[in-house]
Order: sequence, then C-alpha cells, then structure tokens
Amino acid sequence: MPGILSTLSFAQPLAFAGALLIPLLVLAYLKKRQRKTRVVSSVVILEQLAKRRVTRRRFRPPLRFFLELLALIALIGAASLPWYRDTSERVALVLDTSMSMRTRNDSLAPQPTRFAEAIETANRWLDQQSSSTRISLFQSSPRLTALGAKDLSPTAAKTVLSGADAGIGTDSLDTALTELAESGDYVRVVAITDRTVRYFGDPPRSAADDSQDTTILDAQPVGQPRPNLYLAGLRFSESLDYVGQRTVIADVGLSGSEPVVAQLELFELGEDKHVTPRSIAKGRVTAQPNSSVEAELLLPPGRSPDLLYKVELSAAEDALATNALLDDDAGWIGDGNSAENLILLVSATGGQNSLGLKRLPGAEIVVVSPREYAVLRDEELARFTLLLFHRTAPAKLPPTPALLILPPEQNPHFPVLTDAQTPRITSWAGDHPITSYLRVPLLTPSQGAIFSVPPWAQSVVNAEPGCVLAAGETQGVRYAAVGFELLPFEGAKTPVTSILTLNLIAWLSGGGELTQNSLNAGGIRLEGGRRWVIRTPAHETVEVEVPAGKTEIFQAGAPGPYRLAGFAHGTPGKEQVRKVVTVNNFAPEESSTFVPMELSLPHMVEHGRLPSAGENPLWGYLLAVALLLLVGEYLWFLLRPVPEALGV
Amino acid sequence: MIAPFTPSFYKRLQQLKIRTRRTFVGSRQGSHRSLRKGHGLEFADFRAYAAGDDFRHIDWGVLARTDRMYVREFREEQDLNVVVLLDTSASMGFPEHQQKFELARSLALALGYVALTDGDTVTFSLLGRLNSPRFVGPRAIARAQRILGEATPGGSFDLLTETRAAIARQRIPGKCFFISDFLGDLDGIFATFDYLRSKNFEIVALQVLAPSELTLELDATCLVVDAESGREVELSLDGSSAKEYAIKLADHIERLEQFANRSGIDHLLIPSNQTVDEVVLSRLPEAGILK
Repeated sequence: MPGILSTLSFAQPLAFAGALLIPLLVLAYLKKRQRKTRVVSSVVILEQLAKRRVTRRRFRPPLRFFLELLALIALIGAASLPWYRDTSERVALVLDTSMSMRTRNDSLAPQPTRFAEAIETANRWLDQQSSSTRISLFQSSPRLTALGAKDLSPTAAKTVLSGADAGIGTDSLDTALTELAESGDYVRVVAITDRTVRYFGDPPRSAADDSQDTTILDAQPVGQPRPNLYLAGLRFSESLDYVGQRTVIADVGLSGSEPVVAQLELFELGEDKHVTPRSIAKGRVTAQPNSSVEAELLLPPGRSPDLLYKVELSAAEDALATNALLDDDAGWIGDGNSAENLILLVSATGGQNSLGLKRLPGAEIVVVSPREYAVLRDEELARFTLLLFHRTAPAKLPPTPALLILPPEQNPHFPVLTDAQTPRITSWAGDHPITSYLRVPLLTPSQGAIFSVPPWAQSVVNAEPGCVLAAGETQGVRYAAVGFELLPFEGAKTPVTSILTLNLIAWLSGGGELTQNSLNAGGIRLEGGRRWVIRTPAHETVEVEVPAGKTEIFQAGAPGPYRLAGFAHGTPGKEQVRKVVTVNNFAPEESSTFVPMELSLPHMVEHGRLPSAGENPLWGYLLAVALLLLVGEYLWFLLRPVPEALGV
Repeated sequence: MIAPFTPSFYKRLQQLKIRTRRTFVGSRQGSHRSLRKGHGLEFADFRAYAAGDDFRHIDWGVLARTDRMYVREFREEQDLNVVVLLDTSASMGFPEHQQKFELARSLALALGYVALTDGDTVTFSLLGRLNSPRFVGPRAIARAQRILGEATPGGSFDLLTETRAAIARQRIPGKCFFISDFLGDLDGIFATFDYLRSKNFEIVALQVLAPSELTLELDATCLVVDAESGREVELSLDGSSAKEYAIKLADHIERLEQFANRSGIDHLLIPSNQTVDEVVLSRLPEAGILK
C-alpha cells in the first residue's frame, strides 16, 4: 500500500477544494435537526407525547448522512482525477530477425551466427532486469511482430526467445523502433541488432532528462564486420557471343575490403519436384568490394521456357573467411510464369500514361476510372499489391498501399490529408541519389516538403518547381503522394518508368521488388476463395484455406521455387490455378555484412502527456462508488416501512 | 368554492332519504311520520267524539255496534327539521392542503340536498360564522351552495356557545348533522352533544380527520402550535412515538364513540382523503344514516 500511495498522483488537485462541501453537509444536517414550528389542528393528542421530552441531545446523524458523506468524499476524489503509476517497468525488446542476422561469426563456436549471439545478448540483458520488469518481445522481420504474449517476466521472455529464429527477409527496424518509442507504452525500447539504427522522430532529448514522459530508445549491438559474397540479381539475356542463345546474367556483390574470386554454377531444375537439379553451366568472376559485377552463364540451346534455373555462388577459396552469409548465395529464375503483382491504376485520363507501367516485369496493371473505383469494395481492393491514383484522389484512405500522383494543376491540396493521420516517412527502400534527396525525416502531409528538382534528376522526373511530396505509414499501410508527374513514358527507347517511381513502388509494397516471376524474400500472395496447396523448396506440402473476399500472405521461410496449386471451393480435385513463384534473397542491405555498426542511440523520446498503459486511472472506480452509495440511499429510503397508521 | 357536483351525483342524491330513529313534529306536510295526528293515510287510534269533530271521521261501524260515537285518528306525515352544524374553526384548515374543510362542507351540502329533495326543512349553521335561513325545496340548494362556498375556516370559539346560538333559532326539534374534527376538549364536546339532546335533536356526529392526523407525520424535533388556541408544545419524537400517538388517538376516538353509543348519537370517522361520493353514497347508508 505505501508503494501505491507513493505513486499516486492527481491530475486535478484543485478539486480537493470541494472538501469545503463536507462542513456544508454537516451544517445542513445540524440545521435539519433544529426545531421546526408546525401548526396543527389540535395539540390535545400531541401534548400527551410531549412528556417524553429530552432536554439535551447529542448530534446523532442518521444513516443517510454517512451515505451522503461517503458519496461526497468519493465524488471529490473522482474530480481530482487520481491515478497511480505502475512502478514495474514496461520494456520492449526488439530482436532483429532479418537475413543479415544469419551471418556466420568469425569463430563459429560458441556463437555460430549473429542471431545466436543476439539471443545470448538478450538472455544476458534479461538476467540483469528485475523480476518486476514486464517484457514485450518483438521480431523485426519481415514486419514488426509480437513474439509471445505481452508483459512477460524476464524468465518467461527467455523461454519465448529460445524458440525464435532469424528469417530470410529484410526488415524496417527504424520504423518499428520509432513507432514503439513514440507509443508511450514503454519506458525503454531496446533493439538487439547488427545494423545501424536510426530514429526518425522528434529531435532527441538529453539523456540526462529523466522525465517520466520519455521513452529511452536503446540498442545492443551484435556482430562484427564480416566479408560476404552475395547474389544481387538474376536475369535472362540474349548472348552477345552466340546468336540465338540465351544467358543468365548474375549480379555478384561483395561486401568486404579485398577482391574475392567467386565461382558460379547454373542448374536446371525441371518442371517437377522429382527431377534432380542438373548442372548445365559454370562460371568464375572476381567480385570487387562494395560493388557488383556481372557474370554470364550460357544456357544450352533448345531449353524449354517453362524450366526453372538455379544459380549457386561460392567463394573459390577460404569460404568462411570470404563469405559469411550463405543464404544470399543462391538464386532462382524461371520464365513464362504469370505475373505476381496486380497494380490498380485509377486514372482520370484513361490510363494512357500507364504504358510504361505495363512494361514493368512482374506487374499486371488494371486500369479503372475514378467512377469505377468508387464502387469497389475493400475486399476487392485487397487483391491488389498497390493502388496508383493518377490525377485523381480517393474520397477516403484506401486499405491497400497507395500512391497518389497529383501534378500541380490538379493538386490544390491533398484531399486525404485528414485521413492520413500524419503519417511519417521512416525508411526508404534504397540509396539512389534521388531517394537520398527525398529522405525527409518526420515529413507529414501537413508539412509537405517542397520538391525542388535537382538538375541531375530532371531527366527522369517530370517535375515542376514547388511540387509537394508527402509519404508515410499509418496502421501498417503505406501511402505516398507526389505533386509531380511520375509516369512519363515517351516511347520504347526511354526507360519504362523512373527509378524514383520504382523505389516508391518498392517502398509502398513493403520492400518487395517487382521482378518477373520472383519475389524478393517476401510473402506469396494467396487470393481468396481457394484452397491453396503449396509445395516448398524443401519438398514439404502446405495447405492454406483462404476464405472468399480475403487475401492471405504465405510467408516464404526459405528461398527457392514454390509451386502453388489453387483449388476452388466445392470442387475438390479440380485445379483452377497453378503457378510457380521463385523466392530469392536479393537484399543488398542485408547482405552488406561488412558495414560497421553506427550507433546513434540511446535517444530520449518524448511521448504524450496522457496516462499511458503503465498509468492506471482511479477516478472511474471512485465515481462508481459514489453512484452506488447514492442509489443505495435512494432505494433504502424509498423502500423503508412507513409508520403504522390507524385503520379506518 | 365547493367543487360542483356532477349531474349523476345529484341524481343519486335524489334517491336517498334521511333516516330517523325517532318521530318528530314537523312544520308542514312532508314525507316523515309525525307525532301529530290529523289528516293522513296511516291509522293511529280511536277517540270519543267531541263537539266540533269532523263527521267524516266518525266510525260508523263502531257507532252501530256500540251506539257510541268514536272518531278515527290518522298520523300525519310531515317534514323533518334538519340542522347541519359545520365546524368552521381554524382547526378544520389544518393540516394544510389535506382537504379537511373541503370534504366537510361538501358533505354538508350533499346532506342538505338529500333533505331538500325529500321536502325537509334545512338550516345550515356555520359555527362561529353565520346561520342560514331555513331552506325549503330543492331549488334552495343554489343559495346553500353559495353560503357554504364562501365559508373559510378560521378563528376560535367555544363549541357549546356557538351551538347554543345556532339552535336557539330552531323552534322544533329534528335531525342534527354535526360535522367537525372533534379534536378539542372532549368534555366540551360532550356538553355540546348533551345540549343538543336536551333540545330533542337526533345527532349524527361526522368526524373528519386528515391522514396526517391519523398517522404521526412530524419531524423528530419540532414545536407544534395549536391552530385555535395558539398553545405551543415542544416535541421530541423517537421510534416509538408513532405507535404511541396511534394509541392516544384511538383512545380519544373511542371515548367519543362510547359517549355517542350511550347517548344515541351516530358517530362516523371520515378520513379527508375519501371522496364525498364515497362517503354519502356508501358509508352513510351503510351506517344507517341515509337510506
């Protein structure tokens, strides 16, 4: 109890002035007790009772006085808005589960990977916490997800951690940390990660400021810089040396300080899972530090376009010393499969500007008019990876990531400003000069940045001075709005669309790149109304039932080809859809394991002043007590027996 | 003002009649049996013929058998002298808003109308205020209503003195309706009743009391003031006071009732929350006061 009293606070202490009403209540009862004069028809009967007169009586208030006194005290207490702060600390522990955490350490034992090191660091950190600390565990990849229940004890948190593992995807750690820190739910947010952590909120406060309205944002670094060979991309190309033959071009990257000789091998997988991969070509290339080189692997003539091919990369010498991450050393590529990404283009101009988009590999464009868009339901919109609004804007924020392209003449203001609820730019997909230029921390629509086109960007962005750009994320859905033309397409010899557009699309769709038949370590979209049978690269079969009108994402746990068969409900055995989706780990930021950590933490993050989850208001209880007392008093005196009357 | 009676209530009143236990001499022809012998339908007695008797009353059959002349006498039917004594002292106005006086004067009016429609003579006496003229015939009810309607309770007076003054104007006895709360000194009330009895009146005592007088409804501590005498009594009540009050009040009423029974007086206790219809059409006939 003393502990609670020490944490008791009052938001309106002036309400205690209401205690002055207590003497008034006593006075009211004293006055009521005083003699009243009543005129009666006759005192003949009454004067016979008066013989029982008591000369002096003590003040003995009735029961209702005490009920009203207690109710008054409760009301005064409630008006002072009391609350107590839960003294047990609520801490969020965010575990980086992105692919880079699978990087092998220099000395493999006892911590073979960065993730194992992270688990050990987390356990060590948990051991230092008091038993009253309440821990909420999160994993960062592919999105911020809670691990286990909220508010675990340190011991329970360690149990949950023992079952965690690093994935093959990227993450948005900066977004996750910023959102957690600004939620006001935690006194401390700790990230265990191997990468640089940035905070995109308000300017940090001094670490010495121990105000209760701040959250400490902290990071525990793991891993040392390690060189790594990785595949950065695969594509088909026509051979320059052998006319009519196709080649597979592999982009080989190296994160390190010294050139490394890399070996590449091309395998043919065939159409069925039982066909053993067969080596059909080999190559060798010298990878250069912090850049990528192309390696050409020649396809034998007459290969079926439906075949799948796998490229494996390895270091020619001393694999452990030159290639710390193995998950980014294989890539798959196929041909002739259907596109995976549906993009809805809502165009006020009939979609003639979408010609460039239609040439994007891996994207299927559906063009509708604003009028047609207005009748689409949310379930129908969920089928699309992305919504593009060209020279038009929706009446309300859609449930799917959306890009609004509103050139100045159509763009006096952003119609969806109020719905966006101040989204913030927290991360960007790549480091292209244009996106670097556009990285504006804390950019909100109401504070849209004026876009001044730098000279080197004018060839790819048809922008005019004074355009506004705003982008951000709200409730897990990303939005961007640009005040310039993003879809210029002037013929076959020009780029299909600008790098800025591609980067925006990549950012909006959650990091997945639009490449033909390939997803980059993302989830595989499963349409509703079907039972999906998915054969994984490990030859396991997974069945997923997706209700009609909904879309589910199957998270690919490992790279490789995923064979999907979708069956319609009610017709067992009859396939409706069959396709192959290859999942690759082309994520240069995850493969760059040689980049040293840059820690700009800890930050002191100020959040709102309202009582947060750790602060428990009490005024509701006091109000309820007061009401109960008053209702009780009313019922008691309403239902009490009346004095016995003379029978007439 | 008296709340006007409804036509249906008037019709019901016309069907009622005042019942008397005794026979009175009236002042004119009416519907009640009279002590006076003379013209009438009901045979009373024979008596020897005296000079001046109407030959038509000689019983010729008796003369033929006995050779003596006898005349037949008939009981006359005369009106009833009805006196309505209404207590207008201040006590009838308390407790306020409990309609004690309103019910009392409505009762007086209703009883008067019953008597007037039966051909009786009615006098309304507002004790301490005025005595009305003797009303005869149903049409007089309008004047009676005006007199009663203008009356308000107030003041204090000696019941016996005022009753004496009211009865002094009555030349013949009859039926007396005494409407009051009878919460005063019982000896004075008994003396008043005795006086009325000495004047040969048949008395009906209608005691009108408010619900708050039947049940003790006072604050625990208060100073009560008698509306008439101004006498003050300081009260300190407790949980048992209500019961004690009920016993004392019952004792007061019982003594009144015992005296009434001994003296041939009809006594009826009427709570003021009862309606005049209920009292006149139901309770008074049940008590044998009206028929």
